[in-house]
Amino acid sequence: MMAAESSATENYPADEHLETLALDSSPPASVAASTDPLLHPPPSPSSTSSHPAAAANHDAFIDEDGEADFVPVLPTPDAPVISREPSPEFYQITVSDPRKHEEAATGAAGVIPGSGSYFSYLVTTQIADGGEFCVRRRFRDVVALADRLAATHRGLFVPARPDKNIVEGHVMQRHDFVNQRCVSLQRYLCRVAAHPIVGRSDDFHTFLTEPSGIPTSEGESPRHNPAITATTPTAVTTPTTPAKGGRDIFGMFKDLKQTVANGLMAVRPPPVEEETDAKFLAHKAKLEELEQQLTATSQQAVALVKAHDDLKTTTALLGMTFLKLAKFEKGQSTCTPQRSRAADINNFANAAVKVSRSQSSLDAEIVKHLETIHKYLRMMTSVRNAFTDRSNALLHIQSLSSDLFTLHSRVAKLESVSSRGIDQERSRYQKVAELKETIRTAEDAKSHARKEYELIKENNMNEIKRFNKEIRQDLVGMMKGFVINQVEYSDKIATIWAKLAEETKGYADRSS
Amino acid sequence: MISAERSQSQSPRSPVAAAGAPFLSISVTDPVKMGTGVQSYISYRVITKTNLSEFEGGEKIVIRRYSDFEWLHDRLSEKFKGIFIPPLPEKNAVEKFRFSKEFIELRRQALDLFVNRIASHPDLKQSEDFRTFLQADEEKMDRARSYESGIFKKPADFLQMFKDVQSKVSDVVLGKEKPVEESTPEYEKLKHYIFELENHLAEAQKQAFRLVKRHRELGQSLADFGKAIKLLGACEGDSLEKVFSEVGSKSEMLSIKLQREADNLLFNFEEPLKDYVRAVQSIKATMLDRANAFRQHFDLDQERKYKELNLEKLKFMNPEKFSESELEFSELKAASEEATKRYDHIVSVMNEELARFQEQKTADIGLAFHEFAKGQAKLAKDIADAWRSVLPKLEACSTS
Repeated sequence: MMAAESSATENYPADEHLETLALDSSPPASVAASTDPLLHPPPSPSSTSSHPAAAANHDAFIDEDGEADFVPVLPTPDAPVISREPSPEFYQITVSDPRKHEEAATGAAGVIPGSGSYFSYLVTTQIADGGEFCVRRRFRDVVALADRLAATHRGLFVPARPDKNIVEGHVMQRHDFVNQRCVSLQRYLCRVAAHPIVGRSDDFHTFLTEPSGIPTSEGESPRHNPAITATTPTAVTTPTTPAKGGRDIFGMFKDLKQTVANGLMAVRPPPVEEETDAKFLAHKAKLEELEQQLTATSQQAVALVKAHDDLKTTTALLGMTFLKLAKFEKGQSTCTPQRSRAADINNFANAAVKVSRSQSSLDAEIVKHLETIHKYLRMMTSVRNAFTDRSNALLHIQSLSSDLFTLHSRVAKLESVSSRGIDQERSRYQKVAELKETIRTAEDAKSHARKEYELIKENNMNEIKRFNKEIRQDLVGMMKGFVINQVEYSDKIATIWAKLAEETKGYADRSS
Repeated sequence: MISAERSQSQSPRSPVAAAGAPFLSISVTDPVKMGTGVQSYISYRVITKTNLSEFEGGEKIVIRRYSDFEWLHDRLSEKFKGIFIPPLPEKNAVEKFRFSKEFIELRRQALDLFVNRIASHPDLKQSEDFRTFLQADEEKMDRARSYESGIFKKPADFLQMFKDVQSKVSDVVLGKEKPVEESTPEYEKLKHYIFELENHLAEAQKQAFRLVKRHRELGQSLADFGKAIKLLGACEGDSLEKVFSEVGSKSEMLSIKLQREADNLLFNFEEPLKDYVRAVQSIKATMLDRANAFRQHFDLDQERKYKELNLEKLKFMNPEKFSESELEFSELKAASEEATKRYDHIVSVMNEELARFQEQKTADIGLAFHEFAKGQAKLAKDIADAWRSVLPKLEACSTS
């Protein structure tokens, strides 16, 4: 049957909920920002200026529909960040310090060496008042948390957890894999914390703060498609080697590829439903189109970053090669033209090296900005899940309706039969009474199911509105950041080359 | 169509002359594919304009192909030992690239540079073969080419070859792996310099080639990205769609600029570096000639000294044979002096050529750097300007 209803009533535009929030002595603070520098850009000029504005807006925050006036901000890796909605509690979540544990395993697992071990991760949460929680969790706990959140927040865009990546015992021990898991866990927890509803759930709070860990749900995850969890393609993630000289650009997209692959694979044809809400269907179609375009743009973004990176590498190599040549010419010089040539070559080489450094910085910025696309692409799984919640709920009502129909028919049949004696009469009466009791229960269930469904529908719509607003802002923000950085670094590079052109002008004049 | 012409560099192009002053202007133009299939080749038009008396007339146009240029190069190498003969572009490109637009244009420019460098060299331009090349009709040219490249060699050459073989044989017989080499510290240094230089330059040229490729690749991905951004914007609609559409258009525009810059780099940076490498290889060829000349001089000199001693003995011991030997000796002496003269000539010419080379290359590479910096500065500026122009709309979008 239905999962715990209590959380499901933590409805989106529950003004009371948000007002409770305002009553919390919450300073204008910050939400769990990801400290992953690979993923979040430094504050762009526009965002830092909006910090005070965000603080000021804190109270004038909530308008009637419960839609807050969002201040578009880009979270920073180091500084406290003001997000769209103030979270009363979580300031920053970090996942670190993976440790291996040997576990006595039974059965076949005990026979196979290495398969009984697992890793635990240190989850550190800092809260607004300066306090800190440290707990140890293993991935299994995260899976349980994710299942629980999904079950209790149906209809909402609950962030999808990192993939299980079912691997053999040996692969589990690879250093890179564990480190990447740290990164993806941290990102996941921060995303959960950033969700205005899910981030404030008790289960999440418990996960972050209780040393004893959360109880595992009894495998109850009405939404999770078995296709996702069990038959995850054994794209055993061979950890990518970091690119030379810095960021693992491709490592961060590896996770994404996996998610996308899973998403595409996990799409089962939705159950036959009679969704009549045209507005909803229109939104859904739009989101599906959006997902396609996000996928395409994401691919191009990766290719663009790579092309930029390659250009930088070659420019740097060119500079190095000419530096060597300059040194050689200087060392061997026997005449003036040679000496002056050596100097020219040296100037050129230095310019090339300087330019490559600018290019490198630009690349890092571009990666951060374009991460927005991947962020929203990842979100599409949550969106799909929320829509599945809706259709499941509708199905449930339909099945209860059909049950009721059957029950009613049986009652009608029984009642229409003429009795043939006291005993029969009594037993028939009893049966009818039982059936009527069952019907009452079923009707209660149906009414409850309908309420659930309405709730989920409302959640869907609110989340859609929130999503649409946020993605718009984020996309514009992304593009702005991208463009600003391009301007900044292109200007720098132009200056470097213009200077060299000026210095070598004499050679052009001579030849013309 | 690739129209990036290499800017005029110092001496190779004929300067604009005042009226009445002697001038010689040559251009290699109009590459045309001739023939079909395996036997196809490119023909070029060589136009000579001159008022010099050694030439036949005001303007002459002939049709030449690569092997004609090769013939000229070989003839000059034969006759002008010690001079760094201007290099030719590589003969065989990979088949499928042989007729690409870029390859043809690069080759044409290199051939043009080749003839003009000859025309501006005080000694080379006097060459009769050069005049033949510029003026002879196609039939005569064909004949000259097959005559020279074949087995027909002048008698003097036979003697030369024979002597070379002799030295080689004696070396082998005597167990010497290498021929005797001149070895002054100065020349050693020069040899080391030239050989090392070639390595450095080859590496630099390789990087330059890669850079060209990277520009093209970036151009391509920027164009694709632009298209994707446009479609993404269309999903959102309204002002976002408009602004993303403009971002996409800018991307596509910049992609074209990147392709152009790639072409610019190919013609004005990578090709000059390749040219530099070829020039160094030409010096190496001259060094080989010098080594051969030295060996001949040395061997003949040794022989002469030896014979001279014997001659003294023979005077007393065998007077009849003496006069015969005396004759042989004086011939040998003449040959030895001839060889020594040749060697000395090469050495002195080489020294002049080296000075010329150093100056020329500083100018060439300086120009290449200038073109590079100019092109890159413009590209970066164009990029900055393009993105800057989108910023106001993005600002408007984010505040709305």
